[in-house]
Amino acid sequence: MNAPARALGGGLIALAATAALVAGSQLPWRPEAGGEASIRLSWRTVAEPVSECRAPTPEELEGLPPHMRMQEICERGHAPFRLRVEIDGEEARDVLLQPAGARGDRPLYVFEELRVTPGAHRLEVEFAEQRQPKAGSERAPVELTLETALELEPRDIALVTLDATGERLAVTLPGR
Amino acid sequence: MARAHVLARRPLAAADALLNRLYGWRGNPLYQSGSLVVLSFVVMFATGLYLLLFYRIGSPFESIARIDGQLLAGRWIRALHRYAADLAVAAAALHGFRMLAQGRSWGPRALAWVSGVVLLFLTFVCGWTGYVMVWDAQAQLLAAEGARLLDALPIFAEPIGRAIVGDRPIPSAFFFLNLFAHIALPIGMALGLWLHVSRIARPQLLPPRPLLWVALGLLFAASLVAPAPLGPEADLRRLPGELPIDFFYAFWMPASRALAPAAAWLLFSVAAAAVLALPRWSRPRPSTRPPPSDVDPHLCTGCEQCALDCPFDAIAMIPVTTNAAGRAAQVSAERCVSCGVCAGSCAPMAVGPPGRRGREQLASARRFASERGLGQGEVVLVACGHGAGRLAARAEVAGSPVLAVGCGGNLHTSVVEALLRAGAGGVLVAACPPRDCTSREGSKWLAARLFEGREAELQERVDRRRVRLVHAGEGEAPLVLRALRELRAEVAALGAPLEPAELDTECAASARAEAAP
Repeated sequence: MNAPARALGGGLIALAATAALVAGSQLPWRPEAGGEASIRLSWRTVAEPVSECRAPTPEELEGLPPHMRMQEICERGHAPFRLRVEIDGEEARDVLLQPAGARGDRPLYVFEELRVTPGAHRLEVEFAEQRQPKAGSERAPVELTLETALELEPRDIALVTLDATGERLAVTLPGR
Repeated sequence: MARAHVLARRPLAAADALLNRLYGWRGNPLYQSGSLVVLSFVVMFATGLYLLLFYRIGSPFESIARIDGQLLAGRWIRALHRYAADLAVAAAALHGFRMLAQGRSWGPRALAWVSGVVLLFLTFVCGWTGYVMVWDAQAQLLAAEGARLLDALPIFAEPIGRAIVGDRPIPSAFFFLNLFAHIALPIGMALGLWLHVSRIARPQLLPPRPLLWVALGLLFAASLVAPAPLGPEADLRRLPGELPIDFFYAFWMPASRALAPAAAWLLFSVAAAAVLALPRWSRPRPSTRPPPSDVDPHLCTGCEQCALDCPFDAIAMIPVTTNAAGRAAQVSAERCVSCGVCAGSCAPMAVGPPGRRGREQLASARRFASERGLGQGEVVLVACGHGAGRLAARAEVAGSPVLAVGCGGNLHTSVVEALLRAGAGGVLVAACPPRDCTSREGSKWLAARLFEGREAELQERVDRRRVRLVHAGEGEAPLVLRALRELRAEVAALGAPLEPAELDTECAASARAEAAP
């Protein structure tokens, strides 16, 4: 191979490699095939603390040093919530959500993303605290519901969240 | 696994041969993949400093759009930053593949492999933070997917995903953390690079000057001709439409988005573990692994040449009383990769891996000469087992006998003289191109010993016109054949070779001195 041919070949390969680098850096991609829309549920709630207390057994007391022998052993935490979502009368989610934290004593976060086709939809959401009302309890178990009609355009995200009072579910659409 | 190695090396050898032909081995970018990564980081550092002056965590997208609007500087500097980041990933992947295919990733080199994989992972994380800082549609996708994966791990009190839901503005702290990680990670990576090259001597961190300027020129031209795209601003209330994504940093997203977070983590963990364990699978069986070099303390003169030449800093000089210099070489078995370069650099033939020391090479060459019966004027091809156009496996090439050596860089110059004294008219040594020697600096030191008088040099009495060194990779047999033809023609014109005589080596001199009363 003579020098001009080498220079030409070398130049072409260098240009091709650079072009490949540039092309790889900006590959066209459509992450949502078919221009779907989405219903996003996102909120945070703090449930009523629940605690179950019992007297320790003699064996349990025996195993503890004297300064750690409590009169009661209490399991503390927050009650779980049941989240149920129906879209156009069909169940889209039915899950039991646990509060965060190793002991379940942190706030509970709801974050769900449901893909739907653009167009009109009927949305029903139920969010219910799973505890029995106790005598003397200050709060009745939380039970929030939302029933609404949605008109979604391609790529729209309908956001379901708690309203400003924190006591009702509300839905907002982009730019509306 | 050996077959996988052969299969992996074939395309590499073909690409090397083509690029050597076009650019010469000194300019072959495939031989400089590691140093190209470092060059990319230098470019990213320089361009990143400029971008940092204009970036605002309070208005990330607007500040990037403003930078993009600076037609004279900001736009191409941002593109340069991005393309350098892409080059870093491409070159690092190529570097890893090369090291693995050439069996240069296990044993004492495992530290470089593991640290290299970790550095590549940190590069991806750093790139992720950089792309999120832009806060365009691609950033939205990367942030949402990253948050989805991180929220599956029980480490954050509040899900990160809730910060980018769209019900409130993104807190500045989010972008501050990204910026902090984007700057802090490369500082940590500099320490990782130090670890990566800690077991090699004289690491070449940057490519040779001509390649460096060409690479910079191409990156610069690309950034001028094709500025980095800036997508529409992230809109958390709408799903992103078609957008340009950086394949080098977002290649994992299509697979990840199709899986549940736990499955994605499982997939990534298995892939990472497999990549880290690749050298373990690809290393030879213990019975076939070459042993580390050792030193014969009775022959070592304490000249230090092996310690100077060792490409892996595996040889130290220790005080002894057995020679006049008062010191002798000591090989660290933990660091020695058994490359055998010390065997070629030791004039008295005291150092080297068992079976490949100078005196054993000499014995093997004499046996070869007597068994083969070298005809007067015949040119012998001494072929490296790693490169040399794969000719080392043949007994004869175009009528010339072939003496195979494990690595050309191991070759003791006495072997060349011995072949000439045994009747060969000329000796053609075919070794790998210096930047691609399995023993790193083996080919470089071999050339210096043969023609530049480096210690353990080819003796002055040897006619240099009968000795030729050709640098040829695995896929470059035609180069060796052409050099063979040329040397044959020159040798034919020279007339009678050296008179057959006993070779007087430093090894023989030491043995005589020891035998003397």
